[in-house]
Amino acid sequence: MAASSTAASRPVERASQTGPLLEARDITKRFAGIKALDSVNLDVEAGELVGLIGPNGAGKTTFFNCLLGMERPDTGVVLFGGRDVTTLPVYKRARLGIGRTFQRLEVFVGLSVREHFLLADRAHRGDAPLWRDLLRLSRTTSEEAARADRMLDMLGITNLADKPVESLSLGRSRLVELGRALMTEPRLLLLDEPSSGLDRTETAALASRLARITNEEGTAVLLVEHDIELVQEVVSRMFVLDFGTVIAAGATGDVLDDATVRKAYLGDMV
Amino acid sequence: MQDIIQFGIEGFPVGCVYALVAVGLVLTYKTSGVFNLAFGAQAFLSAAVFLKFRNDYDWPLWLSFLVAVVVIGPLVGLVLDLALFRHLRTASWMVKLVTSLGLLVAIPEAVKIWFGQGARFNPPSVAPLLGIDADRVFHVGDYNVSADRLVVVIVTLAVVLGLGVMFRYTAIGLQMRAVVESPRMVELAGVDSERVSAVAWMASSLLAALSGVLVAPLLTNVDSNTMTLLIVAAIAAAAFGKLTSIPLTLAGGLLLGIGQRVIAGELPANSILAQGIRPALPFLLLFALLIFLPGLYKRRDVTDPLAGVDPPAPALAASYKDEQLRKVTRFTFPLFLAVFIGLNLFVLSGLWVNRFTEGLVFAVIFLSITVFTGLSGQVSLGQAAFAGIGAAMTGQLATQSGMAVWLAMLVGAVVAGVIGALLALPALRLGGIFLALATLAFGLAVEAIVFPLDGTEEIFGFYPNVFGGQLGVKVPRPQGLATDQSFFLFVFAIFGLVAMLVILVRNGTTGRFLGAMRGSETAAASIGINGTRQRIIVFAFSAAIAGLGGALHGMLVGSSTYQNWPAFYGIVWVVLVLTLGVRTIDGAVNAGMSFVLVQYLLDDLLHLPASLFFVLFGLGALTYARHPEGVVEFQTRRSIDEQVQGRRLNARAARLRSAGRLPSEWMPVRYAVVPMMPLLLVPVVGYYMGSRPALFAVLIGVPLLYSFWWVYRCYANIHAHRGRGVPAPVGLLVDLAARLGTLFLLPIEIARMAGGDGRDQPITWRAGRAPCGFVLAGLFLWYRSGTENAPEDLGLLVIALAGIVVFLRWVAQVQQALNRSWLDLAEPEAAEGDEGEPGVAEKVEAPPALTAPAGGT
Repeated sequence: MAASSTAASRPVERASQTGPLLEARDITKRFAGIKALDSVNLDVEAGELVGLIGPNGAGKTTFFNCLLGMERPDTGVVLFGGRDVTTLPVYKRARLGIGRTFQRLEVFVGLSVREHFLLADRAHRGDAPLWRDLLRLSRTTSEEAARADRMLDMLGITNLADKPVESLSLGRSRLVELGRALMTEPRLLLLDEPSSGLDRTETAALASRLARITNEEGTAVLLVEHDIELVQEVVSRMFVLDFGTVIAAGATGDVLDDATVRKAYLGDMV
Repeated sequence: MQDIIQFGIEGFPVGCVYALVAVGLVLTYKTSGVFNLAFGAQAFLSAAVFLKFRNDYDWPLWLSFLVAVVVIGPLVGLVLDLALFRHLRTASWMVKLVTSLGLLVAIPEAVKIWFGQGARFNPPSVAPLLGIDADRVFHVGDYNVSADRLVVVIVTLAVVLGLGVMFRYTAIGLQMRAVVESPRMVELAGVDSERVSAVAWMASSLLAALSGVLVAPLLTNVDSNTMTLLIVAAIAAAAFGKLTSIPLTLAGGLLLGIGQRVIAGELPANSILAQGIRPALPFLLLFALLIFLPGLYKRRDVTDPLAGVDPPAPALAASYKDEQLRKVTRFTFPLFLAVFIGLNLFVLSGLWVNRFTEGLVFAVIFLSITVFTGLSGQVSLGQAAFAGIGAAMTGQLATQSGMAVWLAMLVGAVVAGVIGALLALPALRLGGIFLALATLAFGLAVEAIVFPLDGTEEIFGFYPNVFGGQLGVKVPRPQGLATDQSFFLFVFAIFGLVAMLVILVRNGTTGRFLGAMRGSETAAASIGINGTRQRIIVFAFSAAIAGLGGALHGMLVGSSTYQNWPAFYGIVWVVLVLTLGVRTIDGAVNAGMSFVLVQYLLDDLLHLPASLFFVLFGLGALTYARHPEGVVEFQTRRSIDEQVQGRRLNARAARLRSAGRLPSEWMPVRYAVVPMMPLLLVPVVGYYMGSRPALFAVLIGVPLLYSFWWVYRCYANIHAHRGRGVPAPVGLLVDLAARLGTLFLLPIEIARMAGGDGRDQPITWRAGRAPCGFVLAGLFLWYRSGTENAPEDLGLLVIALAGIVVFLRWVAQVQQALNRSWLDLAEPEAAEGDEGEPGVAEKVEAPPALTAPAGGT
């Protein structure tokens, strides 16, 4: 199924929907008197690749956490697919179709790559009732195995399928995270600094892979990044966050030319 | 009103004591990261020493106080820090928890061996030390204050002032405050945080000792239970201060002391419920605080700005899958089962069948720990309550409403499961140590409030009857299971069923989800796993298993009382199962059998104090830090490792032989071991045929002579190669004089030979520890049982066999190490391609580190 059927079904979904896939309105978050986020607005259209950049301490991570449900904003709402998800816990948002990867690696130590994908597939398909386990009904089905194999193939890591994940390099571990998120067939993928710790070739491979995900799978991507080159290369639109506010938003070229952005983000280097 | 104020005045000093322990708790928690649950036990130690020295040995009051509080208090703290907790700084919370639980179990029981089992009255008063007559009563307006209470208040004030001065004006105080904020920052600033934590350990242990001595006169006795459980009230007070604020902790302690006295005073005097609630107030309060203070458990990781730089936890040992392990198990397991069942059905006496049945019953109960802790990585200390609930429910249903007992047993298990789910709903939002504490509070509260209900008292229109009071409730066996053997089969079948269910859950979706959550909780949520739901399910399942085990125990004994299920057992069980192995079924079986058989060994066979049993298990928990996968699994893997290595050596030897370069010193391991095997027959013959001097002479003599030759040969070869070291005749003399020496000397010689050649040491002196320990223990057992028991006991047979097996294993280890040395000499290891792969045990000890995440947060 993966590539062809979802790609075919998604545009229909998209067409039936009005408004952006993800919309954050007036998100404000304070920590002990400091305004980490001040009325931040951001939207991602279905199937779009959007960047979110900003210097250290700009509030990117806090904003990310508000979108994902790790933190609750003081004011403001998060809409996903037109539905208010502001108070939903992380796992429910995940089931609605928000996938993510982590800046600091978060893998299931002790499991192999294939097991990661099988697990994500199973989790995506709902809860695990105990009675199914007790009746031995929860073994891996051939469809599940096939889906996992397709994902391994798509990411080009079939040769690593049975390696324990802790034996992989950082770049490959990030691929495992990406595959794990894609196994849940997300409509939106939030990537938290996916290039950190990668070398140039790995970053380039990542860029082309991201472009493929949006084009072929129809998955929208929100990319939070440090690496401007990567962002520039793949995103069509971007938001710039500084001191908790959005200081610029729009098409990539325009934003990067913006004088305030250059000052805030690049400082005196340019 | 007058009463309330009087109660308040009476409760205030108790509150002071709670506050003292609680301040110590916070101090060590923040400076060393250890939540020391053993402070109550330390308080008991000092109170016991004080009473014993003053009342029994008639030491002067000041000297007794000096020894019990000023010397023993800080000394214990220092020893604990130096010997244990200093090395656990970076260990997981689970290791720290298990270690402190081990101490909580071991310390009071060790003290009781010397102090006496029961409570002792007339604890000496500290008042005369401050120049106050102990019997004097002070009048404040209309209210009376006894000297002892006044002293507690004065001392607490002095301690608080002293601590305040230390924190504010001394360097070490400033460093402590800083360590509380962030130990790593302080280390970066060049402060020796180990010294700081040592001082904190000494100070807080001094506080614990002081509170034990101070509280004894208020309680009018010194009792290990009451004192040990002081810690629960202290935890409640510390929770009130959110584990950070010392002033709030003090306030929490005072409020708890006063509130407890006031509530206790207002409760009706002759109600069983009220009598249960009174001592349980701290438990109830702790439970409520943990559940309703969300700030408490969310703070943990936020306080230390550098906390996030830890590498991720290493892979769990059980995740290592070995084909060899599987093959060996597949072959030996059915054989072992058949022998075990056959022995029980046809050979052993009813007494032994009952012992093994009881071991299996406890194995069922312990599977509840395997399934919860093994799968979720969380700890529940309340399993005894669930087992008790299952036993009581089964008995009541079967005797009162005439339900078939097997059905009653299932209902009992379900009820325990439902109660478990109800407890889990609020409690499982907590994780780690806080969940452990909440379940401990739950277990203690159930023991104090629910279990004593005997149906004579009305509560909301019901007359709840749990165990029917002192005598307990009768639990009949199912039809046709009257004989020991048939009931053994029944229990065995149920155990097999439960074990299978546990394996199914472990391999099923639930187990996989929980495994993922152990790896990374946030990542599990990010793919849509509802972690809380998974934990609640597995907790309820675990409670049901415990309930089932409780019911089985009732059937075995014929009845069940609340004395069968003290909350204290909930702690002992967790400690035992984690020590032996919490991830595997055989861990639970070993724990169950040890729980029963060690008790028998110490009590029936050796007539040693029952306390020693708990001391052993408590101290055993200290190995958990080294072997979190469990002792059983560690040993299994090590022996398999040796087999794998042995096979590899044989292959190398075969290659060299075909090349004609096999060293003459080389000798197959079986040549060394097999001629000594007749030793194994000695205990068997002795047990079944009595004394047969002629036969014994052959069975012992031949292996003995052979072993002397073998030892001589080993030394001679080593000496010939090195040209120095222990000459063979000297080695033989040592062996003739005392084989214990050889156990260490021979491995040392092999290691020195390897060291001289610049090769890796294939063996160290440590190989001698196990056989040496067995020989010494065996001599002791023989001495004890010889004086008081008939030696023809099956237990002795088993111990003797085990000792001989350990010795033969040592022989095999030594021969293998020697073989490796000769092969390495004939053909340097570098030439070996397949030799670099580490064995199973090595992998377990040093799991591969995760690729370090680059970049900061």
